[in-house]
Amino acid sequence: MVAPPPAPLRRRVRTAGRGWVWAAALLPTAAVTAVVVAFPLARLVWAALLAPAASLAGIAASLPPLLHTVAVVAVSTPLALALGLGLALVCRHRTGAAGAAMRLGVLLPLLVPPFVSAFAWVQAYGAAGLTDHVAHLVLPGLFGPVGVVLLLAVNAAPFPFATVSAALAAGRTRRLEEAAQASGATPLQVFTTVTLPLLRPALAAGAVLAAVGAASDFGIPAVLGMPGGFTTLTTAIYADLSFSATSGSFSAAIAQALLLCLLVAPAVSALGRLADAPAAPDGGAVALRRGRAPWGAALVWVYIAVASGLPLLATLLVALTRAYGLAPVPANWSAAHFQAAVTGDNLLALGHSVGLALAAALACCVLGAAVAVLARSSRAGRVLQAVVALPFALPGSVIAIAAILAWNRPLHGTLTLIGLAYAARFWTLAERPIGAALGGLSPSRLRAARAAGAGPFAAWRTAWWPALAPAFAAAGLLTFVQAFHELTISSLLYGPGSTTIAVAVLSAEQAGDVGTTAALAVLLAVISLAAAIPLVGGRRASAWTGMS
Amino acid sequence: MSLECRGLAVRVGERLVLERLDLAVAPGEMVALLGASGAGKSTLLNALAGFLPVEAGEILCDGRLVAGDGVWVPPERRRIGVVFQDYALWPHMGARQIVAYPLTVRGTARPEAYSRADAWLERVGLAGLGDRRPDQLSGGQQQRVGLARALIAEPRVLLCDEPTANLDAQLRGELPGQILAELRRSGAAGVYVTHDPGEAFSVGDRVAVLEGGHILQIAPPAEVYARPASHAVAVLTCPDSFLADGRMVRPEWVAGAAVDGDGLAATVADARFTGDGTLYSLDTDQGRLLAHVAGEPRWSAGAAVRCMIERAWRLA
Repeated sequence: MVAPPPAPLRRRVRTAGRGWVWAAALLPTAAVTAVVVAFPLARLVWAALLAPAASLAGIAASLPPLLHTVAVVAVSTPLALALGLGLALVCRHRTGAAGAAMRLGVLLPLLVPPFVSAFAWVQAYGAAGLTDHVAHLVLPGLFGPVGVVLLLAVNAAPFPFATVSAALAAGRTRRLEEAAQASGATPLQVFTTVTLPLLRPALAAGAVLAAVGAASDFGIPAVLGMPGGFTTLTTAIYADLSFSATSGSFSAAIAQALLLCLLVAPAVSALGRLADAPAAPDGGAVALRRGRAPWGAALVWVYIAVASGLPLLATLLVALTRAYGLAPVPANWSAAHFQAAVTGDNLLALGHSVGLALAAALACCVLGAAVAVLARSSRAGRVLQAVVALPFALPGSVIAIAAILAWNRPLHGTLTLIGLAYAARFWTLAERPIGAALGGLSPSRLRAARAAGAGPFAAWRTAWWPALAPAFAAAGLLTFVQAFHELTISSLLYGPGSTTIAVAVLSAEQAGDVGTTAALAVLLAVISLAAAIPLVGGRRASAWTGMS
Repeated sequence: MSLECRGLAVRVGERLVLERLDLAVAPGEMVALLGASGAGKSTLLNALAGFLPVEAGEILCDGRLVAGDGVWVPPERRRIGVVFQDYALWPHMGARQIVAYPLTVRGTARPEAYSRADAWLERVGLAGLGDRRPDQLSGGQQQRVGLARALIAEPRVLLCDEPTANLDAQLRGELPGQILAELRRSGAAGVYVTHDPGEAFSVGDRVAVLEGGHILQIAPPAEVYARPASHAVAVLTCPDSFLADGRMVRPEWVAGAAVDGDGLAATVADARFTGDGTLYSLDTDQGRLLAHVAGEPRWSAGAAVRCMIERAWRLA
């Protein structure tokens, strides 16, 4: 029963009607891509090629940070992988509100900006921190490689957690395990011979995401590494650009940015291959089954408390307590730190961040939709799609350096420069959910509406838009959250009149103003969480692959 | 090797899907579970396999309690074989490895397990395909790998969950016969879930008609077809028609319609050629009647005919 091929008439009508719409969308999108993404990245490569002697010297000077970054990635990635896998296995069969709360708790480190997490860990487990106050417990080596690795692992664990959870949730996995069980395999045999091999692609994808995240992160080594002199590539770039402004330090930063690129490039290309691998088809609904370890949930909650709960609580207490060092009891509480956090320069920084995040969300939704539509209809569109995906895969420091090289002359230290870099970085983040929603729409939906008598616009509005609207909402929220608490790029690009809230927090932290830092961190975390919870509550948790 | 459940109740989530269900399957016997989707067929199968816990009642294999009364034997120790609707073949293994799996997980040495798996592959008509992965096999071949896997470890119970649902028409005809033949040879107790009445009648030594978690009737196929216990059973084992006085008439029970002569006066509402005959819809003063008559359509819609009802079954 082979259906006859579609009538040639329809095809002719389609392309004829589309020709000019097409060019009208392709040309401006390509132009924006060139300005925002392609030109800055080309300038970066060009700069490195132009000054080989300087970049060689830069590479020699950046050997220690390079080795540190490699070591940190090599240790934190397996840790994150083990954490993510274990957490996903325990959370697997937990449904209902308790299960949702547990998943949200595990994903918390993804929603709280990394430098806030790092600061919060210091407040919880550092000297004079919460556990020190209560039980005289201090995490040894918090300021240095141990702390950086631990927190990077905790911070990256949501990636393997999300990929593994998605693979486990595919109804087919459960079916295949049942088949093994019916064949006489013990639970351990089922796990080693069926579950783990089925999870291999998800684990690989999670590992790559975790490794790229760990290599690119700036906030955690900035808060936990820099004070103890433990420098990674990202903090080295920051030091080059912030603490000295010679041409030598700038070429060192360029060299380090390129090294960072080279470091994550194999991982990113591996991820592209993994994404192309065919996914196992989905089976039916999964019924509730036996085999939930009762202690599993307790372990997960302990993990959530240690990784996120206690640190955030400690930060809140510090923000509430009148002076640093006083006992965090209600008698010593005051709102002074919060008042300081929302006045003067800090308020201005908050305004900058909200404005930047709103502009980035709006721009990325429009640009993302344009690329998503083009990628589905033409080869040129697919090229654009690949190009705009680059800045998100590359570390933020690299994007910032590229933006400086390309547009520093007219835009030095302006919000526009930061906004351009944000548009480049988060473009693909908005494109992905919109593209996925478009891909799930069959043309027959639109045709059915047209056949039923709806005009072109009415058909689009009634048959397609309701399915696209959630994707646009997700794209906008995702971009907003990421841009709102973005630190890596803005810390390298800000000028006197363009401080972002994240930079304000980092400055307050580096100035030793713990109370105000804590209050700002609480504000930042609360706003980020409020914007992000609808994302996680919805089914788009797996689309969450944000990196700062 | 028998299978028995008594007073079985199974809960899925909040819903009690099965309630006080009794079923006994003798060694070498195949019981077909027939019902619409949502009737509880798959739930019963999952409970028998041990994938779902039992709320009340008990399940016995060979007279040994495997579920209920505080006992719960996990699937891997029930000595069952399951043929899945979606095949459930592990995508990372080859056919030989899949078929040998029930032996290797029970500790059989790999060379022996593999040679027995090859023998089974040959038996189900897949000789030489042992290295193929599932995605390199057709649907029918995949399901035969699934059948070999289900039987290689000599299970006491064979559970088949709509094994033909994803196959094309020709294989749908062949596979049930193959499953039945293997069941007879193994002497296991078989349960075969399907929503297709024709398949249930052809494969089942007895047919159990399920609705709303209850067995409405369990009897040999011919009896279920000719003497359904209730209106619901009659409808589930269609096609059928009902006379005004409540009697049920199967299409073959109506004899060749003729223009003249005795019998019930009827008007042809519709005539559809089915290959092995023609299915007429007839309007009579007793109600709409379906009649299956050998040969090509002789009358078209609107024709006035007479027909004889040779047999009818009065529903309780």
